[in-house]
Amino acid sequence: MAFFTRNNCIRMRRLLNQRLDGELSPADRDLLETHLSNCPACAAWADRLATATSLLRAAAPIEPPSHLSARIKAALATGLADPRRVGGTRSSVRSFSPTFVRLATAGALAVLALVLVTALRDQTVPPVPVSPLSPAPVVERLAVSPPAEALPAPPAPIAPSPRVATATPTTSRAVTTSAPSRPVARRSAPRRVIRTPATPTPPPPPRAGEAPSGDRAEPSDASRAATATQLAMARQRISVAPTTRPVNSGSAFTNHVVGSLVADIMLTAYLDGAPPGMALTPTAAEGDF
Amino acid sequence: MPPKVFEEAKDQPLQSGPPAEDLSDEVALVEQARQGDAEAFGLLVDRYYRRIYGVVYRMCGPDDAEDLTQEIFLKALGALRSFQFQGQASFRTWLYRIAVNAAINELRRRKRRRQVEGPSLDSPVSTDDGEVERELPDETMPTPAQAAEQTETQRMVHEVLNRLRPQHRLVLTLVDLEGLEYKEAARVLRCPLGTLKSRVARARDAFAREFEKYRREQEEERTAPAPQSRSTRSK
Repeated sequence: MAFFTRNNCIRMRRLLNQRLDGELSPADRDLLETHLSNCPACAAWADRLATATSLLRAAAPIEPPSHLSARIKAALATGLADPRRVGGTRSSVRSFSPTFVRLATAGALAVLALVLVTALRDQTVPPVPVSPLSPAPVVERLAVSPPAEALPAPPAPIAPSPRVATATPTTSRAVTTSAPSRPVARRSAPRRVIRTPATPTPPPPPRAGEAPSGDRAEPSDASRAATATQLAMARQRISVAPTTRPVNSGSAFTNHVVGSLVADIMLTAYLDGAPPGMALTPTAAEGDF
Repeated sequence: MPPKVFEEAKDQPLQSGPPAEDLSDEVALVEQARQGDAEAFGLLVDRYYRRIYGVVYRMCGPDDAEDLTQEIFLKALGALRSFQFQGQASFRTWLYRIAVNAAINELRRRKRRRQVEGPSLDSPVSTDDGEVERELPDETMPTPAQAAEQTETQRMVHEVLNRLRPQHRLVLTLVDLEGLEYKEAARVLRCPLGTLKSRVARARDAFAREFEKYRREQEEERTAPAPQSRSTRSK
């Protein structure tokens, strides 16, 4: 019995609305009548819908107060005299939603935090060339690494990523390793090596086992130990004598915290390879491009 | 038992809404109003303020209906320069759109105000007899004095409409109460014609369901003995 399937009933109830609007075709009207005569549920629904809709349409229009027209015209006359009031709202104080207020507050706090961090960073970055162990911001060190000769006996090489080398090609070859030579690590794909064409970079201080540029260098145990010792000494130096640094922030605690953080990051980067998002050495995936 | 009027026109299309306006001089009136003719705009106000008041009253209730109607015409006057005719009924459509937007904004404003200031409508009130449901004055319902001026049918329609979601209330107000054609209502609401028809069908179904509940409640109230109210009216 197709008359009583659910889909058929749904379709017939759509036709009921069309009948209320007088948009039912003769064929659909016959179909609907046949269905209603065989389906008590739809017939009852048709009665309820027709009753409710006729109630809606029988409701007389709402009659406005008699003074409303004059009131509107008086307001319009005032508005014409004072154009600022035309298009205005009833309430002069706009009320913002709680969500908007929360978002605006969060945004303002984020901007404030950004400004503070930027100012703090400017104060904690020393203006003189620093050693790799200094608490200079990592980003800055990545972008412009110091000349190789300016590094006082760097404990270990940090190979810049190709992207960094692209930004500062003159420093791209300052990648060495002081560790005993270990064969080139995992060269899975040809890498883009950016060379400085015209001005050859001065060679770094002679070190044993210099690795080719762009290769991933893995330190030996001795090198790691030396690096860890030097980093510990640097951290102690930062925390003990912050006033010897040309920092005018006056906040020894800030210097200590920032210095420790940067030293930890660099130590992690060196011992474990480049952490995600901070490619000090090109990873295999990055080397493929 | 529904009134006889319900039984009359079940199988024929029902006409509703206020009588159609004479639109022959509307283009000229609007043009004069755009030139700053206050009298011409006053004639447009006279022509449409009942319709606009009706929409606002159905959507937002009687309390702010006057203020909102006035605000809508002030907005229309301010925006009249940007209005362009796209057919004979387009000024009315444009005015309806301003009214619908103003009503929706007013409902949002009330909702925000309730969120910020008022108690939760869902939270019960603790009394000595336990927790009872909170009763708050409904801003969309007429006061007793206003209700006395309404007919019985108007009162029923208004009460059932206020049980619906605002979206359903809006399309029923435009199509079934104001008598707008589907095309014009679709232009007012800026939605495709098919979408509007679906909305109207769903809104009618919802109205029919709520009307059934309303009638049952009314009958129960008549037959049952008056129960002792345990609820408290919040101040």
